[in-house]
Amino acid sequence: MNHDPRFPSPDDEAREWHAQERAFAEERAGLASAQSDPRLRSYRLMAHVLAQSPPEQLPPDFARQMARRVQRAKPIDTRLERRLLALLVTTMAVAGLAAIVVYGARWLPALDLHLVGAVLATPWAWALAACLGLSRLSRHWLHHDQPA
Amino acid sequence: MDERLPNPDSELVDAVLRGAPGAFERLVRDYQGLCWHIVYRMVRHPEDARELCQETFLRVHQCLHQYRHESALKSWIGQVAYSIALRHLQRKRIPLYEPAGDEDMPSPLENLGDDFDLEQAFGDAQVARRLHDAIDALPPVQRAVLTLYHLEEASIPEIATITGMASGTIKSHLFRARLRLRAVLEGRLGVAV
Repeated sequence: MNHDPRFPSPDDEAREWHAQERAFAEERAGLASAQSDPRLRSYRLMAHVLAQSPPEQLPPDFARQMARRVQRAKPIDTRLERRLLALLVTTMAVAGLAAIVVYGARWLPALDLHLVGAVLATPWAWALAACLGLSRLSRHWLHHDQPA
Repeated sequence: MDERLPNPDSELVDAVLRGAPGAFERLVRDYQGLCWHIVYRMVRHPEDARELCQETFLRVHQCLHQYRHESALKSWIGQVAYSIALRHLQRKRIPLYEPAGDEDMPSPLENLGDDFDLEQAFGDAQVARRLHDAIDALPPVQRAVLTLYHLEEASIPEIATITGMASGTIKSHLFRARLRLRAVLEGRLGVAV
């Protein structure tokens, strides 16, 4: 197949790429410029300009500002809420037990123990319990290494 | 025998995750240059770039527990900065790449000779100004790739990790961008700012 004369041949492109990379390597190594090749001089100048930092910079105390901002954004201390929640759950459990002790004699015999046994014998019930347990554990593992 | 040297990235990440005093500030100080270079060169607006750098480090702080040490921390943070800058440009509907038609246009290589003497043609200051204007006129993704390669001296695989592009695509962006800059520099192409 003939080469389209409008476009450079792969050889031309390979030579150009080689010149770009050579100029970059020479500029990075601080080697003396090859005065004979204007193309290399253009690419070295380009590499020099591209390697310069932008004139605008972040403020000098940017890192400190960020650290302070992150410190302020730390999760709110919810220890009081968690303790109140634990107290509420305990109170409810104790109230439930008291209700069983006081009123249980009336309704406990009516409970069909066979029905409870049938539920426990279903594999899906165990699978559901296992899924819930795994989900809970994985959540614990995922958050284990998070910063306080 | 497996004698692993302590990895400074891992130590820094562990310190930040433990909440060690000053660790996050050190992480920001170590990588703020990288973040700024990527973001500023992509968005070209200092105020926006500052805000996006803040967003980058807030995201880094939130998601650091997800860093799995599969790439260097530099690449991981660069990836966060690049994606935040990219999303900002997308929201502003700024084109990220060359217009599709440009791929089929004759290459500037056709018009370039080997005999152009830059120093004779322009003074130093004029050359630098032409180059800066030409760099600013490149599409944001090409500016990011050039910055990572020339300023940050990142390797092509590192740039691939940061940008999510294939190595061949990165080489193509580098080649075309530098060729275009050369054409502008030598006066064969105008700078459309």
